[in-house]
Amino acid sequence: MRTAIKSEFRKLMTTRTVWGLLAGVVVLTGLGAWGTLLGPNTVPGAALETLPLFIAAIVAVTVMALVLGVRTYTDEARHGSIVPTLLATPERRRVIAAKLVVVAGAAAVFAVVAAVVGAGFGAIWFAAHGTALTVGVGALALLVAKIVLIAMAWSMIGLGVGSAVGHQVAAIVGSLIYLLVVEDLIGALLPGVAKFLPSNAADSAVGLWASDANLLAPALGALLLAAWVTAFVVAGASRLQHRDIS
Amino acid sequence: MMSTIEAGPGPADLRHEAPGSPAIVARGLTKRFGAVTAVDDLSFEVRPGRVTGFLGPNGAGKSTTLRMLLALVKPTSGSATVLGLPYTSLAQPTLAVGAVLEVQSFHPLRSGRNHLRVLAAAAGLTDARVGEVLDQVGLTDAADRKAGGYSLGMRQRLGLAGALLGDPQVLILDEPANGLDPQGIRWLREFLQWFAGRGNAVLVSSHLLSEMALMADDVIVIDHGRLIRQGTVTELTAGGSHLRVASPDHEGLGRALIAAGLEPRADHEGGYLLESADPERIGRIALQAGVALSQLSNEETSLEDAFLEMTEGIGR
Repeated sequence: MRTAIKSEFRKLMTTRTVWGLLAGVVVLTGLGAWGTLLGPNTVPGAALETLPLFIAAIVAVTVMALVLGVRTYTDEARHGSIVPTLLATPERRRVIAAKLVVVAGAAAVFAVVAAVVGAGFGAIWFAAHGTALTVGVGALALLVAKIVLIAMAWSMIGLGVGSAVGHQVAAIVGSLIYLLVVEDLIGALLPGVAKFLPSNAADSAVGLWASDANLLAPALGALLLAAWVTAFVVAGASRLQHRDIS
Repeated sequence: MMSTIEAGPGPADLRHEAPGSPAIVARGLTKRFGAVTAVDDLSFEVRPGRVTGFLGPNGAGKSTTLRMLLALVKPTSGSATVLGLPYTSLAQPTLAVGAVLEVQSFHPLRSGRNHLRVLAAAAGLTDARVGEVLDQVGLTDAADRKAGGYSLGMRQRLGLAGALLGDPQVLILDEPANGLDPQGIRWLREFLQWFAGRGNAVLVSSHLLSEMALMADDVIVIDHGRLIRQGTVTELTAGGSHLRVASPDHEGLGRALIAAGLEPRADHEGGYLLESADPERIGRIALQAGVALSQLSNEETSLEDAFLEMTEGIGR
């Protein structure tokens, strides 16, 4: 298992994909935070950890961790490197397990970077405007931990989707359309159902949207998100297990 | 360019040594894709110390068979073992079997060296071993460039380097000569013969007979997913001589030969092939029919003739 993880780690570090996605995290978080601070909701004199600019960080890591997860399998399918991968590690569940460890680790880094960018933006903006800003260290740490877990969850969902679908463009476009459009659409039409879906479950788990009556309690949201992760990973691993590589 | 062929440090204690026993065994391998039967009840053995050619026209089921040996494709029925075990049961497959199935099986933005480092990590091998196989296939100078920019021949050699990483006892190569220039093909032939000469097994597929005639000791011939023949190249071409007769009056010669009760077989160059016929008798037949001959000679059966004979009359 250690050899498979080491191999996956080298794969991650020897193309520019992961750096491109990390740059995406920084840019998306920055743009989102900027937009939030310019918006009408900004309260002068607030606690850093309660600011909505962390929503920008969460959106950024959700998208980028999902794409990273999808690409971790579909890049190999697309370029044919899945053949030497499976020749070296014929136990396919072990390949999936090693990929899970590595994408979740990278997603955690994405999350920390996003949180730092978001917090940094807030601090600079408030300082520049001479507004008082307090920091609750414990609450901030808890929030960052939640963002890390959310990012890890989305990277694993992405790996499950990528392994199940196989085709890279279909998997990326499909999962992003679902994430950014379909689930909101379901939310508008069937709010009673939508709160159980992955993105809403993730939002519930974070608890930044506490006022939203359509979300579940944070603990329940976290449990539900874990269930979604399990379902997607099992589906992807099972599809790979039975797929002919030809 | 393609430098010295030398032995890598073999992890001798991991070898599944069993002299004389076949390195690869296929038993009743069958693969159906929907209504299409790609491989049909195929059984064969590959011996160590020999280069075995896996021969058949395009679409005969060669690649599917090789992928079943390597557990990439699941057989509909039947089984295969490599060094006595199913591929998935090999404790360290990279140290037992090396395989190249496709011209491209690497990320184009990863360097050749990093591609091999990824594979080395999965097999628990060192980066030093990566340097050795790069030397072995003559790719050291290009190792730190992105593999997507490699020529076809360099891609083949990168694939081969990956297969050799674990210093395996069995090599399985699918159409390795594709994209190689004549020097590259010659290098490959010499390499495979050297590799087999150390007591290792080589199974190499091709649809090109001329290539196999020079490269292989044994051949397995398949068509439509079925075994046609298995034997040594010598066996398949042995007993093999025939009479070739040709005339500017192709039709007239054919009629005269049939009228004389013979069974002439038209070849691809406008002549006829006759099994076990007496040249003098053919000469007389032609004389009586008033047909001028442009050739009348005994020819040894080549592997190509043997192959065409074997696959003839099997309708697509």
